[in-house]
Amino acid sequence: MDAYLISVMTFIGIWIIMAMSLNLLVGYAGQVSIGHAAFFGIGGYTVAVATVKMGLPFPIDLVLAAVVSGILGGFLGLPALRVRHDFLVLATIGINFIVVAVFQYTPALGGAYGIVGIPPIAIAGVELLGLGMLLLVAAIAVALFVLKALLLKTWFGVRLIAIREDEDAAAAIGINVASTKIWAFVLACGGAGIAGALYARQLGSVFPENFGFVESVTVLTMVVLGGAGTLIGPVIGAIILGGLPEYLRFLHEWRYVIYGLLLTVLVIFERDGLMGPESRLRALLTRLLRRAAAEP
Amino acid sequence: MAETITNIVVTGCLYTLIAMGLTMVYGMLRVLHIVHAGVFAVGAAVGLVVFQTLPVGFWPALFAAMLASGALGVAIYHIGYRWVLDAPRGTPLLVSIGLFITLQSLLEKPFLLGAYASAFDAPVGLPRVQLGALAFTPAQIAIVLSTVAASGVVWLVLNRTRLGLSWRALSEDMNMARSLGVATQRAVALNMFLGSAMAGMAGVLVAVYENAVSAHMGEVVAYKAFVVVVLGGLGSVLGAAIAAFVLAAFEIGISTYLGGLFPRDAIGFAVLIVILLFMPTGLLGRRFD
Amino acid sequence: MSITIERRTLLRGLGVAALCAVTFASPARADDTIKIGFFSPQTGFAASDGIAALHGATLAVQFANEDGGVMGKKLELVSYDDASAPDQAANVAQKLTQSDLVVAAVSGSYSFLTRPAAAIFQRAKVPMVAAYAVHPQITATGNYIFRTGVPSAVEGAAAAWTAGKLMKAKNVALVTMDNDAGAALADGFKKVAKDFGVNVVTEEKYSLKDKDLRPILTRIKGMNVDAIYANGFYAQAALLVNQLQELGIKTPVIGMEGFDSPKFFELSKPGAAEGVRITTALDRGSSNPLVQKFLAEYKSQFGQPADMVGASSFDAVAVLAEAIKRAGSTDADAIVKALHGIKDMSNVTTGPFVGFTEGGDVIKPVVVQEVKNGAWVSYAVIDDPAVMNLH
Repeated sequence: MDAYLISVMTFIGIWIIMAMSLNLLVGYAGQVSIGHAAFFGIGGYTVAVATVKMGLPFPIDLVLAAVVSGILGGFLGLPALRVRHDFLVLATIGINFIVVAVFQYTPALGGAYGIVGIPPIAIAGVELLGLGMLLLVAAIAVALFVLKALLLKTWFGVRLIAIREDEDAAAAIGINVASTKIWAFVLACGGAGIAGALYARQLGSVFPENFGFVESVTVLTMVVLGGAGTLIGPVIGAIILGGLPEYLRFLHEWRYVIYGLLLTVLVIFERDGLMGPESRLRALLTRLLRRAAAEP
Repeated sequence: MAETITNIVVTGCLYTLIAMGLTMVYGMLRVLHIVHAGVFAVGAAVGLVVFQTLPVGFWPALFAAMLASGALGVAIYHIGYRWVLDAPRGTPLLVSIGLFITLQSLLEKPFLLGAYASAFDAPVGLPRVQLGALAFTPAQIAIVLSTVAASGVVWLVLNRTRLGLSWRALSEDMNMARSLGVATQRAVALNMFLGSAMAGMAGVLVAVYENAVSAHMGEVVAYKAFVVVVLGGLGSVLGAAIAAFVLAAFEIGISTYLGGLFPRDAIGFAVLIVILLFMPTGLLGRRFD
Repeated sequence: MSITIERRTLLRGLGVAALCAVTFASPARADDTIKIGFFSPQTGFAASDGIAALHGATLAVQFANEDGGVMGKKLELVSYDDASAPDQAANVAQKLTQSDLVVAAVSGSYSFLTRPAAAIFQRAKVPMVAAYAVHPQITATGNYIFRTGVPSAVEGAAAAWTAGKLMKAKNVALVTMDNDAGAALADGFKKVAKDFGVNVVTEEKYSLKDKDLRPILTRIKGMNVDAIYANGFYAQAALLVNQLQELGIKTPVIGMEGFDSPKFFELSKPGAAEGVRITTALDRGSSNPLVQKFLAEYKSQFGQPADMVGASSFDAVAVLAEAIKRAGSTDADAIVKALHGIKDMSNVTTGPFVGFTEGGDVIKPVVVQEVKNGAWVSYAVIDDPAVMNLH
């Protein structure tokens, strides 16, 4: 299979994991964050340090990345208890900048030099490159998708949605808003950490500039465009926006003009996202699936 | 010390100009109006082009840039925001992001600004001013005077005109105001116009101050403007002005006295987060609902 | 109703398939050209450098072809835009090595884009030359990765040499951009400063996003400093000299190759750039006819004077062309061997290339230029082994 296609799809798989994790926070818990790339970065740097400086093998580095990002994400949840809505949005952006500054100014993390020489994942001595890495990323993405779907069916999922709809009402009926919020941050940031871990392995290096405001905006865009608060929304958003720069290469230097226009138009047309509850795409796919199921 | 104070005054004025316009738009539409930074850059570009192609001085070019920016703001409302005002919060933000990406990418094209920065060496026709130990260059005086004038105009409109009254009504509750007969479309358009005109004014002043106009000059404004607006308390114009100077003072003060300890933006955000932890709705924040 | 939907869906599906075919199809292999891959940020905030690099590479291919090509065939530049996104750099590296099947490639991008791509080129065993990315570990990626830009250790040391030995500046303040290029150059300076009689009084870092250097400069004003060693790109260079002028600071400035752009002059206020010295490798007054031809052709084709990025990119392509010629083959190992065999190449714009280190970094003298009456003039050439052989 075409190595370029595999590379593109591997990155899309990583964005899917990122978007799904952010969706937990934005779409289900209702906490808008434009700083998610910070945890993407924390996951990536954890893997970088674990592999390059400590020589740890897969999957220990991946687990570490998820745990470290998750715990630090929990700490981000603390200001979220105090600060809401657009104030929180800015706080999340601030956390992103501060985390990147820490990456950039901490010599132990490579400072401005980043960390290079991250080896590809090796399972039982076999290096995962190209197709192998793509399959691993896809497997993890599917597993996380299923886990998320199951999680949302639990009482935790119900609590999340209650908080999203009306935080004060949720508290009034006895939901522990603080604990639920913090857990939402832990899980979402842990998910971003997993995406970051895979990203670091795929690129072989991490630099502070990989994890900034622009990346956070991009992943939020994927979630909202796809349909925040739906299971399949972030997946669609990641496939479209993650792949669009590559699909549009034939437009050469007009790529991003069209990208911007397309984004604007798509989101005006489908205000709840492309896979939002009332969207045309969802209706179309449902019809097609029903017809396929109805055929004997 | 003197240079630091001058810098804080000038930077505070620039932050005020940018944040005031954003506060006006945000206050009315409740949109995270990130493309305000795109209008900022377009304003600078228009100012430069007018100054270079027409036999006019700096101030007429500035005025032209303000008109163009204002018009662009109204266009953005009609093309983008109008359709999604009652959509979930994320949707208008994405519209803004999409338009911002489009604007920046367009400005990069060779027939507009191109990939390189362009110089904007325009004499502002003002003298250097010495206030005790503080020295201000002509460009700096231009910034201070423009900010004072613009702030005055905004204050007047908001507090002494029917238009301002209708803006405040629409900010409180748009549907109620509309059903009470407020001329909504016109008021919103004028709000976008004035807020965006101020972005354009800021763009031209920054361009002349730094002697550079570039397609991506709005990239920092995109988030910095929000830091000021949020710090001030979202929707409060006075809050934005106070926050502008508080932020400038911290950023410049810490950078000057502690050196390159941390990037300036990170310092600014750290200050914001700390203040928000104590005052979750900003310095002058009203009850947020 | 259902038929209409099915047809619409079918058409949509065909449309998507067609789009994919157009985008992802490998171009037909043309055996009558030698393909040189190229990638740089041609859109986005770094587009000015990416486009300049593309121009330089394009000119090198043009000159080579005018000269009869290589091995009797024409060179063809296969160029992609990485939009300053590392994943795009990785994707195009895959494309270049696996679909376009280039013989070798040049990176016209910064370090954080070049490094991921380098890993892919190394694995695919396709030689890659970094034109100006400065990160010390890029060439360490493997034996197929080379660099024709001045290594940071050398350029930083050259600045220290200039300060200590040529300008007799004892106390120097560093103004460093906080990315890897800034860090590498500052480290190169600091490492040998004492050897050349220079005392580093302070190091002030700034972010590329930060247009206001006044806090840093105000701090420096209060210190006893004989010279400022600053690094940055053309925009920062202009901001620096403008703000120094505004603050009335007369301390001499030593810059680096990022300053080496006509835009530095354009964006500087009158007189602000005067006296600035920079370490670079492009000697605009050079008697080498190739340099003059390059400068003239660049200006006439692209409408503006060449800068260091364009020159570096030109040389990266030129050295590859030379290596293929000498190897007499497009085999990767033969090219690598030929590159290491280059011992004195003078038909480059930023040369002469004395050779390559074992790791693949170029060895060449550093040129110091000074601004006199708003233009660059030669100030010194530094080829002392104490500087040139550092890496």
